[in-house]
Amino acid sequence: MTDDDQPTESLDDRRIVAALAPSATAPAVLLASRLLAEITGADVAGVHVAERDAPRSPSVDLDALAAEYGVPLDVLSGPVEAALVDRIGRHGVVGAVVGARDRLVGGRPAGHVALAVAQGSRRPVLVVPPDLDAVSSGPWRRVLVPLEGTLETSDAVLDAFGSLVVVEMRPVVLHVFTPTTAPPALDRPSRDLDVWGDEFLARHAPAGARIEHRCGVASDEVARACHADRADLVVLSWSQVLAPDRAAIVQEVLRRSPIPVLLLPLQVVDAPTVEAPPVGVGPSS
Amino acid sequence: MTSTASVHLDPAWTVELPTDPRLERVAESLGALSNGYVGTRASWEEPGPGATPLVVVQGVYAGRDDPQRIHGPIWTTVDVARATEPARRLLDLRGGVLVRLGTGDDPPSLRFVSAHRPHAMAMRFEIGSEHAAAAGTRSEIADGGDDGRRITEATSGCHDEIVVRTSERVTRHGARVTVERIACCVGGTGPEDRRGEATERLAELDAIGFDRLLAEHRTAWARRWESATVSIAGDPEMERACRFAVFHLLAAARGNGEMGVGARGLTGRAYGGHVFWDADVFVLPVLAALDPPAARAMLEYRIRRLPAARRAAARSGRRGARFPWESADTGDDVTPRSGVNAHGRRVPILTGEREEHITADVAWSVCEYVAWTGDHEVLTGEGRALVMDTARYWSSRCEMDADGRAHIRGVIGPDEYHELVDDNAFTNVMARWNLRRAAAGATLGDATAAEVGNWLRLADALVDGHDAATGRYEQFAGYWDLEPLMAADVHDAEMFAADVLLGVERTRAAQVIKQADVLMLHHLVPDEVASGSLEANLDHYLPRTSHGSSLSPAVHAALLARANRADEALTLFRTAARLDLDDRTGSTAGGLHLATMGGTWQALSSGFLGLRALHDGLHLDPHLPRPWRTLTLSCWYHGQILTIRATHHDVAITCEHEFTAFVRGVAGRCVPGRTTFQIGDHP
Repeated sequence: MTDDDQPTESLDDRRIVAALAPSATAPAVLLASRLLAEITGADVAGVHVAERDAPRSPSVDLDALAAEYGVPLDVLSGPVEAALVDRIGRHGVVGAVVGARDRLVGGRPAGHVALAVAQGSRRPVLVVPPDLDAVSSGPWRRVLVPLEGTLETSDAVLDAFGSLVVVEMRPVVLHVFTPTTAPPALDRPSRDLDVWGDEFLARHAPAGARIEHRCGVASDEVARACHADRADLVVLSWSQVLAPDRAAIVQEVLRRSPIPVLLLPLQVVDAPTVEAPPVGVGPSS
Repeated sequence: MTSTASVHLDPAWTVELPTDPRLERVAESLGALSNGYVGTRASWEEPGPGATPLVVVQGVYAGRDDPQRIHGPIWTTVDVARATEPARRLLDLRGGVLVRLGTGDDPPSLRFVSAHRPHAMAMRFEIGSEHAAAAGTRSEIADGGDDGRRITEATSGCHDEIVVRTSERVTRHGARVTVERIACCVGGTGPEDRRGEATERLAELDAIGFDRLLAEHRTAWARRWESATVSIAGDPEMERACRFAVFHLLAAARGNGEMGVGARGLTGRAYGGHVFWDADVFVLPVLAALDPPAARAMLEYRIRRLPAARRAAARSGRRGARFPWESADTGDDVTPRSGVNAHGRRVPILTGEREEHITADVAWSVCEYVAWTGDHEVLTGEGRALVMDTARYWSSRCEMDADGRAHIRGVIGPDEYHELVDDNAFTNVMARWNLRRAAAGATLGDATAAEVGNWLRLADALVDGHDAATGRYEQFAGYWDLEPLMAADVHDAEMFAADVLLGVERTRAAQVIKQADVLMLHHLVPDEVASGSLEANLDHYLPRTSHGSSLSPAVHAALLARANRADEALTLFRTAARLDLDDRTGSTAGGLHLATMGGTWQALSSGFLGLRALHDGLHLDPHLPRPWRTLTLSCWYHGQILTIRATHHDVAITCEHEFTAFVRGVAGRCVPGRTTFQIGDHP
């Protein structure tokens, strides 16, 4: 049995790994780590991987900053991404927090470290926009949960998020209608959407969720819905495969979201999946 | 005592509910039981997550601005843990019973809502080996009192509007436990002593006993099916789907008092029990043929709300009576004024103000009822006043132009993708029909000669959008100028919501439509449209129809069959007949689509059989699709039960009393017994 497989025994053992780099975005990562720790009942453990060619006098004193946030700091050496993925995979770690990019000016895709950690880790990874401290003071309770309505993606959210979070959240499910998921008939649109939405929630969503609908390009609509006045964080399940034709929503949200993005890995890629009846198809004899 | 082990289920009369837990709420709707007075969803007896049990009573609402049906106490819960393997539940359509099969040798459980005694519901629940492993997690079922019975009572509503009183007996047979529960439901909004009434009635029901109540119920259903037969040789799947539709239609209303049949009947929460044109156009005409007293009660609902309709007309500065788009208990319009659309935006809902064709639809339903039943008495008194006052409404609604043509502007037709249009063909032609019908039936005292003359002049002057050269009707003024977008240009699915995929603005600017609009005229008032124009309008509008409404497929199936395109009709017919069974719309969890079920029967009757009740008699013009060897329907017509059996070559009518039928336009006498008319092969 590897460290990955050992069950977390109690709340006391639970840890969030905060991946810290000596840049102006470090405070955002620490703030997010603290907020994530509050909703997961975990402690925060800071990790910095010192690169061989790092400047001898970095602009940010990570030790002092971590101490300010009450976070113990471990300094490792080695290849950054591999070292972080290894640390995140250890027993007791329930998730990780990493900065989206190392510069405050946004509008770019997430940096290579954030993407590597998100792709390489089997734990939930929270990707934090660099200016988080400007938009959120916590505690986090409002969570945006875009769902496409497949069993695979919904279960990933229900299972992983359900075991990760220990406080009562206010989930808002977002479903973007596409030509394949839009209800084929809306006799009385707002009423039928209520019924359709209730059924979607019953089949796919966490308890206590409400639902909002959008139409259009899913990646664009989800990214647009990520606003600090609507949610504290957004949760996305994904296959951990980044390619031009894959994970479009994840890529767009990482690029544009002003709120943290919690990425939940789907089950292991080669595990058998089971199709659930989508809302709108339910054969009876 | 009748053993529950002796339940025999004929597959041709049985619908099995889905067992997938994610489809639980769909299953609850499919297996809902009702009797026109009370309805109960098919929720599992054992409590568990995801269930949406429901008990509702016809006509019992709460709330003023947005009245919603009150939910009654749930009487079907048994406090045992759910078995690990879900049981099978089967709806016995012939007997009107929901059967739950146990595992191994365990006898089945039964549940029914009495078709004979409106306040009575009952269940016999067998707790067998499937629960044995889980039984330790729940408290033991409480035994009955000294006489073995345990009485419970629960109420709901601020003023105990719904009372459910139950009498339960628990018996043990070795490891097995049988819970037999008789329930009495009394609902209403008046000051009556419903608890006292429930107590009295339950005592009567208890004295009758479960087995006799079940026998009465089964006998009542057997009697119903005598006049509601559906038989399709060559298509057992459609036969069963049609029987499923007829079952729920018959269960939706009863022939007593008034019946405001909501769009989802008594099967679910959706729409809060509000009544739409669904009832008048798709349910009432069917029940006029299958259960005339129930149809009469549906008419009574509208007739009793004629005063409210008159007030509505006056409030909008018109004369006569204007019926509401959405109706509940008072007869006032209860359409919400805004809602959130698929794009997440709050938008105004204009149907309450502007979808006015319902006023003519209600008048049409009165006349359709009379045509089927021969009950002309309804056209005396307030029934007649309804036809007159709705005509008055249209006469005050029309605007005359300088050329002497009459217009009705700023309405919404059945196609709700295009709002606030002028001279919607459906609205105008239905208004014209209404004016002419009122004029034809008016006598001294109803209206002055001048008023009647004015109705006829207006009817002749109303613009209807008909182009004599092509035979087509322009759906509304300016429709031909819209982007000629076909449904197939938008999506290759048979049914889709065009406004969701294209956006509201683009859809509004295009010719793609939601559902039958012009074609509804051919469906309801074919004598009001140009003779021979069906084909031209089918060819034009069908490719432009997205069927973004559950009402659409059945109507098109009926019209395609009438146009001798029966094979083409069958595809859409299958969609309509299985709409809820397959949860095609994603909203069956909220209740069954009664109008689609009514449309399915209409497709069978007026479509494939070409069956119509007209002023001069009963008309038939069968066109069966190739896979069907025979189609047999039973129905009431002018006080007698007819059985009509059509093949590709002939049609046989079985009746009790002699009458004249028109088969493909040729009059023939039907004598008591069976009369067969040759119709030859497809022309």
